[in-house]
Amino acid sequence: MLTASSWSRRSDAALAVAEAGDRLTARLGGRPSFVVVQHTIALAADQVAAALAARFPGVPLHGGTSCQGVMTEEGFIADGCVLGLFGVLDPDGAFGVASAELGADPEAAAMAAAERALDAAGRPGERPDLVWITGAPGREERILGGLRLLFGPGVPVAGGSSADDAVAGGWSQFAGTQVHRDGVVVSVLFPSRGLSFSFHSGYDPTAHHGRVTASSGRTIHTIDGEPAAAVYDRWTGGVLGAARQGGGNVLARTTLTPLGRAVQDVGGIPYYQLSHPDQVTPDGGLTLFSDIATGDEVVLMRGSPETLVTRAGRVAHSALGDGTSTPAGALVIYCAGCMLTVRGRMDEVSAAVRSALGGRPFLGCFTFGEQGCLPGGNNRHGNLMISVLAFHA
Amino acid sequence: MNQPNRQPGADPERLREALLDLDRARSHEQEARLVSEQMVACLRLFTSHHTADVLMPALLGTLRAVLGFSDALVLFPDQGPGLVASFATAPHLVGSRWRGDGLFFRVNPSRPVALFDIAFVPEWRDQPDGVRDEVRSALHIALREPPNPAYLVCCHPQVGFFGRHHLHLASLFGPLTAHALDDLDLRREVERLRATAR
Repeated sequence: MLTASSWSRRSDAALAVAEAGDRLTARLGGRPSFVVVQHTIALAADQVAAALAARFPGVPLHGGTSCQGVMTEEGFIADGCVLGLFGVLDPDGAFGVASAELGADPEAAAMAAAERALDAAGRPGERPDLVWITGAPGREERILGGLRLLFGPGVPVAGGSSADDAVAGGWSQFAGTQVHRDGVVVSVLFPSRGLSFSFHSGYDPTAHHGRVTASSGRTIHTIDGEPAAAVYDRWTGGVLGAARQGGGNVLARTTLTPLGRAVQDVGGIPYYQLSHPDQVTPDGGLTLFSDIATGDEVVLMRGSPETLVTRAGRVAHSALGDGTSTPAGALVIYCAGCMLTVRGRMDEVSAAVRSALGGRPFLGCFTFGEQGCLPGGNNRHGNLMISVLAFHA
Repeated sequence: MNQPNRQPGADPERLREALLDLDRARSHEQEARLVSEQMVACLRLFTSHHTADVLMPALLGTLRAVLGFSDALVLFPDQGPGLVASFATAPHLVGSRWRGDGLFFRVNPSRPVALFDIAFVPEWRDQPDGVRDEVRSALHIALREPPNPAYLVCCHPQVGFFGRHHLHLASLFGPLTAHALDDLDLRREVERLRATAR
């Protein structure tokens, strides 16, 4: 199995696809068996998808938008028009891609897309080694729920929620030439060689914790009976500032202090799923980028720019497992919030991933939600997380 | 779940990674020990059971403990291109006939195939209700390659029961089961030659 990445900064979608596509084919030395596409919203998704379908006819294409740029083994490529490609050359493997509008029933949409992806791969009913997803932000837990209904409990799922540059709803997703604004793209992977994965954050728990006593969907109304924003502001030493009283967007202020929930225990060590507070509501609640339930125990987590810079490389290293396999390349999901916090050091982040992968190709994107498989096989959606999928040579 | 102790000067991230590595290594060691014990159990069967009628039920019983299937069948070539179940854990599965193409082309000794839901698979949809009843997921293991193929098909009533772990175990125990079949063939051939010599 071979992999390669390529990118272009051309502002014309057709020219960008031609440039990145030619480079990808040259690096692979042949027609790819599967291509993952990430681009910024400065390029029109329908034009990117159409040009790619013409450039790679019959090749499964899995696409989505990334916040402000992408990263590869060549560094951080950002601002304006950016197109990144990751190709897998694996004639003995099988890959299928399909998509669906999320609509009123995201579970059913995810199941339908996965069934079509399996048909496209020529493997109906067969357990894929991994399911790679790109969804619109907002209902990721329901997408994972649909995939669990279809596949049962043991199929790992990883991926990221498509993003725009300013949380303004400009994201998109595509499978082949089918473009969505509120959809899910599902790829089923049956590589001829192995793959491995890891899903982590760069945050540590603090001593501050409490129980969610009122919630709805992605909003925490109260923690231990007090308005959630007041509790959170006290725990963090006042990061909400004026927004605590007046409400509004607090996304950038809360990136280093998300809320965590211990979702499982590995070797006596709790594994935390993170939720990023993004708004203070008029009633003093906090909205998050992931679902929360009344009764959940939340812990204030703390990160630092240093851990956000080094963590991606460590997650990539962890994704390689016991070190008995040689990586061919990797897909990296890195939270857009983390990227924006350490934007000036993103070349260090990509260098850390490159080093962990031994210089092999990779494509990283910046997402508004991350999905991955925890040790023990639980698929989760979280915020401020890093998900790495390594293909073995 | 407990909060981890925060010790001044400790690097919690590295500590957590080390503990996770330790836990992973411990799990691998436990699994390796269990697998080797089960392999020894299989090998003991080979030396103590010398005919198919005795060995195959005992072998399927041991494999059931390893792979956790509810039922299993062993398929051999039928007259023509198809396959027939010569041994099974349940009487109603014995004699079931299967197409030998499609899915079975993809299964080889180094690559078992797990089906998360047999309802999507033509080879399973062809089966009568009696065979499909109580089966939602399956694991197909090639024991021998064509022109004299043999397959072990494991069944379970739960969707998606057979996962990555089962595929790994299948790659270990498939060759062992194949060896049992080869051993039976050799014994049969020896008996035939002895009879001819007499």
